[in-house]
Order: sequence, then structure tokens, then C-alpha cells
Amino acid sequence: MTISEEIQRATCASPSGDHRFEKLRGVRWRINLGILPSSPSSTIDELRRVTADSRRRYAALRRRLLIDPHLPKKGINSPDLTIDNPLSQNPESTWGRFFRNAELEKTLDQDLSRLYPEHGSYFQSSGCQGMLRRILLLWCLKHPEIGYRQGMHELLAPLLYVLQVDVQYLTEVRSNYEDQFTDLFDELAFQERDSAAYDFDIKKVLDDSMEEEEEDENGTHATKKKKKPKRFDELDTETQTAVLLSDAYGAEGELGIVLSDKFLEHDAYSMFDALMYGGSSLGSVSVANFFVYSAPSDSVTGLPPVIEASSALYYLLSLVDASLHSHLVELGVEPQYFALRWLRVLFGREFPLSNLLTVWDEIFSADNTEVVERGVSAVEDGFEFRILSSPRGALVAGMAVSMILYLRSSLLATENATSSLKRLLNFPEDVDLCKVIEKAKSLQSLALEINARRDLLPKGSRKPMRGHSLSVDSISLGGSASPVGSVPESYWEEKWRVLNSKEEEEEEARRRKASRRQNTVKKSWSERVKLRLSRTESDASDRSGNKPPIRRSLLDDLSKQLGDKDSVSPTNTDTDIERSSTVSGSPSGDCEDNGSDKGKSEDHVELPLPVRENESEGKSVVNIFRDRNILSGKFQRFWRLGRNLSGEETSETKEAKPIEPEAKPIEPVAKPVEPEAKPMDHEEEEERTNSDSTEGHGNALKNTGRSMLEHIKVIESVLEQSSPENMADNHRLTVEEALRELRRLGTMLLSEM
Amino acid sequence: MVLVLALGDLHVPHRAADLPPKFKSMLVPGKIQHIICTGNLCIKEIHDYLKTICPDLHIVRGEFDEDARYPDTKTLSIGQFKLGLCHGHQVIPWGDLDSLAMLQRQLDVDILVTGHTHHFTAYKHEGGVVINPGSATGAYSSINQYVNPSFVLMDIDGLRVVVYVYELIDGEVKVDKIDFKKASTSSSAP
Repeated sequence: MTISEEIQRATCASPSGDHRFEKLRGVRWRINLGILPSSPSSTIDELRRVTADSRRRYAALRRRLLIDPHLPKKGINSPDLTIDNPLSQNPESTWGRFFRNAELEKTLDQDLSRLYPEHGSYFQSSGCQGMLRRILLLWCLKHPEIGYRQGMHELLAPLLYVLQVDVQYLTEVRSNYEDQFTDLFDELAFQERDSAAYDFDIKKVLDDSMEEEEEDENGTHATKKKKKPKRFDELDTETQTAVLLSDAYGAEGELGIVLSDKFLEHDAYSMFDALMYGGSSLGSVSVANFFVYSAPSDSVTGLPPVIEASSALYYLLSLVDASLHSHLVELGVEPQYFALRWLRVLFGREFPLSNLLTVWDEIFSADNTEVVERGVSAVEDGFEFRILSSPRGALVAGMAVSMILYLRSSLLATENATSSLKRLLNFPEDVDLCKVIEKAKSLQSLALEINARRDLLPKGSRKPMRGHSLSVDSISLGGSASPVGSVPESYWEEKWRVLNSKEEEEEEARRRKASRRQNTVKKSWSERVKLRLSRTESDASDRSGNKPPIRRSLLDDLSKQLGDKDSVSPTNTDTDIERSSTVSGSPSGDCEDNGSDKGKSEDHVELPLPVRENESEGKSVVNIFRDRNILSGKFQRFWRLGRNLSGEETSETKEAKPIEPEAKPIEPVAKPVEPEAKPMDHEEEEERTNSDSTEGHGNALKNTGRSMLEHIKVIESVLEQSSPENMADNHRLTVEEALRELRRLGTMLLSEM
Repeated sequence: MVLVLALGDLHVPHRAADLPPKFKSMLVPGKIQHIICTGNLCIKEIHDYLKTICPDLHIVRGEFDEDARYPDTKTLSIGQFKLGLCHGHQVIPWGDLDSLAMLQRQLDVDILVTGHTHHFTAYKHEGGVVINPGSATGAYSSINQYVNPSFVLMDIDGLRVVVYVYELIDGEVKVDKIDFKKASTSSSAP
């Protein structure tokens, strides 16, 4: 009769899980971590065998590695004293190893002494500390490539704790159902019988039988120590399990008792090992990887695993809640600031112990085998988040994201990175854990899909660019499957994708304006790109309508489209100017400082769009959009730099293409040539100065002043060209525009100051 | 598992320039918990150097020491053992076991460490140990011109002490070991 049969008789077994050992977390976790066989049909004997094996391994390890230098080395009767003296410099000497162990132990003690002070009665007890120390020491000696990192003790402590809880449960059961644990024949324990040798006391027997009668009268819930022994089958299933698991019989004898307090250390070690190196498959969550500093050789991204996992978190967050994600990124909160601690200790520091056990229940019950084929195609397409390729990893990521979402409102209200991090790192105590876990599970399925569906992955180069967070790079470079096709990064594709995304961004902006967002969060250009790209899928419908003009503007740009634009009516001038200028800028798509040109073009791309919005939608949109579309300072600076250095003519000529025929060429050197280009230019300046004012007032002032000067110059030049009387319509338009801009600049300056 | 370093009679700078480099490479900080020094360092620099190896330094006055504040004898207790320290020029005849035993009884110590002869000896005597770590620099003495540098490291562990002797013979470090178990303090003499 196997345990599983028993349980299945009692409860209806669900298809997913194994309902055995509901109360015995230690055993359940051991099964989930792969130490004990997980198939529901495994008998108790098999469990015992596996347990005994793992314990034997640990004992051998301990004997081998824990060194008492006083004991002579095996096989050497007279140890060579030149090697084995305490001061020996020889690395192989026992004393040398002893001292190295002592140093490691000192490091461990530093951490262990601070472990769970709120549960100090158990964790700070010397027995427990000794066990923890030994386990960690042995594990680190066994895995010298990682050694000991702070945080490992926090992973180990709950494992030991659940084992201890199991043992305590066992003693409780034992005290309640003592008879099940001892072999009673003739009402006497086995040992007693042997020694007494049939010389039993008849009186005792009579007394006992009288007791039984009394008990029957009192009812089954009598609390006397010696209960009437129930039959094994009458016990509830949990107690049955406990009894069976503590049975000392079997081939392995005591070593095979699955629930045993003598072997807590051994079991905890195996659990810890399994957790750290969970599974041989690459996609699984092996927490040890999170402690590694360098990237594994077969990594797609070339990043340390914990950084990659953190970026996976952020990517998942961006898919689910882009505004929060962009808010965090704009504040500069890199995911690994908080995710490092979350991942390395599996949320051990975020929840109180009881909640943590529940969380770990969930995490461990998720399967750890890699789900997705990591074929060659994955490598080509772009990033792949290793953490997400197994259900357990996906659940961990989902858990983290759901925690972030739990703090959503307080995070959105933060103004700087420090306060956000403070919120994130001080997760509130009274959390509705069920809700968080539910959300995590729903995110888990999404996360699993990320790796499965190639089109959700961020695309990008294999190696991330230097100097930027992975999230920025990967996501800004990424994009959904574009109609242009998944060609290698090229000037065309980038531009096109960015354009697409910009269109969607505008749609979103319009939609958002209608829905009255309360938080006007400042976003940098990079964030918006990400936002756009993350919403790519949902905005697919929007894209189609905008394709033709974009394509046209693309072509226009390339061929220096004079002819096409001639036909454009003046009323549409601005619109088309916008488009062409967006096109004319060569959006690099990534937020790199790839030189002033790129920076310049990025800004070109950005600014006209908001300007268009300004014209078409009105002040409210302007405000919102201006707030949200303010470029980050870096790009600003580079744009400005590029502008100033390389002269405005290049930019202006590009922008002014559609209007060429009209404008008379004035000296192109440092003056904006095309009048039509002025509005954009000024608006760009204005946008720039808007953002600059957020950066630094000094710069803003300078820029505003410069732009105003330019405005004036423009007006002057236009007036030069033609006297007011016979000014052409478009010239008048220009002048009016310029004046309007001047006015706007002035008011803005005043308001900003 | 307490490591105690016993050395002395360095006579720096008068008779020797410094400890032998092989000895210096072995004496790294962090491993040794106590240093007991029989004296005749003679200068403060050596005192400071010994302090860097271990902050817990016990030293007695030898006749050539330039710091006059060191005591003549010292006793300390490490683990279960009582240690006594004296330079040895006060004990006449120099290096004589019986006279040293007299000093041991006088100080009531289990382990007596003296120097002055620049010659390593270790005797088990009357339930105790008398150790002479020799000269750590190999400085000449008044009775011996050719001296091998030597010092002693004691590993005190409960009731058991293991005495490691490090000698520099012909440019090589030779190590030897002596085990000594102390009768438990509560047992009365048979």
C-alpha cells in the first residue's frame, strides 16, 4: 500500500499536483526540488532509499572536507612536518586548509549572526547556527568557483526551518499517537517485552483493559497520554504519512527515515544544493547563477545572469504596465538595484517568514525544467531571457513583477530614484499574499510566452552597448515583427520601425489625453520608444493607416524630394514638413551617443512630432505632450552640440527640402536658410529649451536666448528679402509664425523661471 | 586551537641584522593568537614587528634589551595551561634543568619558556614542560658562536599541547613536533 493510494482515496487527486504530504512542507519541497522522486506512485521505500543516499553523500562530504588538523591524514602515519606544520605556506597542508576554512567560517559567521533576528529563538540557537555554518561551509568548499556570497545563508535558513517544522510535527504526532510508533505486542513495548521475558504483570494487563473501557466511554477525543491504539487505517492521512515516514525499518535503517531530526543537516544540504543548482537544464532557475559575476559563455546577451534576469523583469513589466515601467526607467531605477536582492534570496528579505514559506511553496511547485527550445533561431533574433524559459523561472519573474505592481501607486508618486528604491526595497509587511501570488501566476503564463513567441522578444544586437542599462538597449532596439521583415539592423529598418512606433505613440497620446491621465510623468525619449515598442502589438491596427505617408516620406527623404513636395499645399506644409523631417532625421533607434549626428537626428525625429501635435490638437495636448515628450538631457546636449558644431545648414537643408523652391538661398552658413524651416527649428528649440529647463536653468536660458536671437534673425532675413508690401504669402506666414514662436518662447521662459 | 609563538634572543641590530627570510615568510599575521618572547630583542623596531604578527605580545627583559620597562618574569594562562616566561640569564647555571625546574615551581606554571642559551631544548619534567626556543636570528651567544636560528610554535588545544620546533639548518627549515598532555587539573597526584 503506497502512500499515494491512501491519499488518493481520501482526497480527489488533482491532475496537476501531488497532494501528498500536504502538511509536511519539508518533504514536499524535497520532492519539488528533485531530491526525492516526484512521481506520485513512488513508494515509501523508494523515498527512503533516495533519502538515505543523499544523506550518505553529505556525510562523506563532511568527513572529507571538515578538517581537524590534529587528526593525522589518512594513510600517513608520520605526516611530513615540513608540510603539515601550522605555519606552513604549502597550500595542500591540512593546516593551510584549516586556516582557509577558518577564514570562510569567519565570513559566514558575520552573516549568520545577523540571520533572522526576529526569529532568533530558533535561528540564533547554537545548534542551528552550527548546522547552518557547516552546511554553507561544505557547500562553498564543494563549489569553489562561486564560494560564499552574502545571501546564501538566507536561502538556506528557511529550508532548514521547514525541516525542523516537519520534525516538530512528527514529535507532536508521536506524542498523540504514541502507539503507532512503537511496536506493541501484548500491550507492552517491544523492548520491555524482551527484557521482561514473558514475566509480565497480570495486574497491569487488567488495569490497561479497564482503562480502555473508560476511554471508550469518554469519547474519542480523550487527551490521555495512553490512548487506545487505533488501527492504522483509522488515522487521518496526514498522520499516516507521518508515521510511515518515520518508520525506522527498512533497508536503510535509521538513515532512511524521511523525517528525522538527526539528519536535518544532511537534508538541508541536499535541498540547498538542489536549489542552487536546480536541474541540469540551462533554462531552469539555478540560484547559484545569480551569484555569478560574469556572464556564462553561452549566454546570448553576454551579461551576468542576474542582470539578464533583472532586465527580464523589466521587460515583463513593460509588457504589462508600460507607464510604470517607463516611469521607473526615467527615474533611473535600474532593475538590478532591487531585483538583485529579490532574485538572489528568492524574496527572502521581502516577506516575513510565514509568507515566505507560502511564496516558496508556489515557486517550488512550479516545474523547473526548461520549456522552450533554445535553438539557433533564438540566438539570431535577439535576446532571450534565460530565466523565463522554465515555469519556475517565469513564476519568479511574475512574482517580482506582481510585487512591483502591488506598489504601483506609491511608485508612480515618487520623484526620484532613491525614494522609489526605498519603496521597492521595503516591501510592506501586511500584504495580501494570495492576490500577489494570483497575479504572479497570471504573469507567469505571459512570461513563458515571451520566450516562446519570437515576436514578443526584444530584438537587438547580441552584445548590448556599453554604458546603458540592458532594458533600455534591448527594448529600444526591439520591435515587433515589422513588415519590412526581420532584416539585420539597418538604417532603413531602424528608421521605419521608429517611425511606426512614433505613429503609435501619437495615437496613444491622443487616447491618453482623452482619458485624462493624472500623472504627467516626464519621460525621456528612450522611454517613449520603449513604450511604443511595448505597445506595438496592441497598436497594430493604428499602424496600417499611417503606412503610406510614412513610406512616402521615407522615399522623399532619400531622394531629396523636391518634386514631390512641390505639390503639397501650404496648409499641409507643416504636417508634411514634420513627416519629412522626421524621416530626414536618421533615428538610430538606440539611445547611444553615437556621435553628434545621431544625437542630432534623434532630436529631429522627436521634436517635430510633438510640434505637429501642438498645431493640430491644441494647448491641452501641448501641455501634456510637452510634459511627456521631453527629451532627456543627453540627447539634448548632443543635438545642440551637433547643431552648433556642424552648422545648421545640414539640418536645415534636410528639413527644408519640401520648401526649397520658395526660399531664396541666403548665405547658408550659420543662418537658418529656409523660412519654413524656421517654425520647426524654433519649435525644436522650444522643445529643447523646455527640456533644458528641466535640466538646468543656465542651459535653458542660453538656449532660449539663442533661439530668440535666431527668430529675430529670421524675421530680419525675411524682411530683407522682400519688403513688407510685396511679401509673398508664405513669407508672411513665416514671419507670423516666427513672431508667434517668439512670443511663446517668452511666455514659456517666464512661466518656467 | 590556540597558536602561541615562542621566540627570543634576536639581538637585533647588535649581533644580527634581522630574522631569516624563510622565517619571516612563515610568520604571517592572522594565524597566531599569542606571542611570548624571552627577551633580548633588543630594539623597539623588533617589538613593533612582532606586534604586527600578533597584537598579543608578552615579553620579559633580557640583559641587552633597550627598553627597561619589561618585567623580569611573567606568567599567563592560555586555555588550560599556565605559562611562565623568563629570560634565563638570572637562572644559574644557564640552561640547567634543575635550576629551571626550581623557577618553574616558583612560578607555579605548567610550561616554562626561557632563553639566553641560544640553543633549543625542550624537556618534559615533573608534569611540566621546559622549553627554550633558541635564537630566532641565529645570533651568537657567549657560549656558542655558531647558532642555528630556531623558534617554537605551541598549539594549545584543551589539555593537550603540541610543540612545533622550527629550525633553520643549512638553509632549510626543519620542523619537529612534541606532544604533551597535561594531567587534568582535578586529579590528585598519585
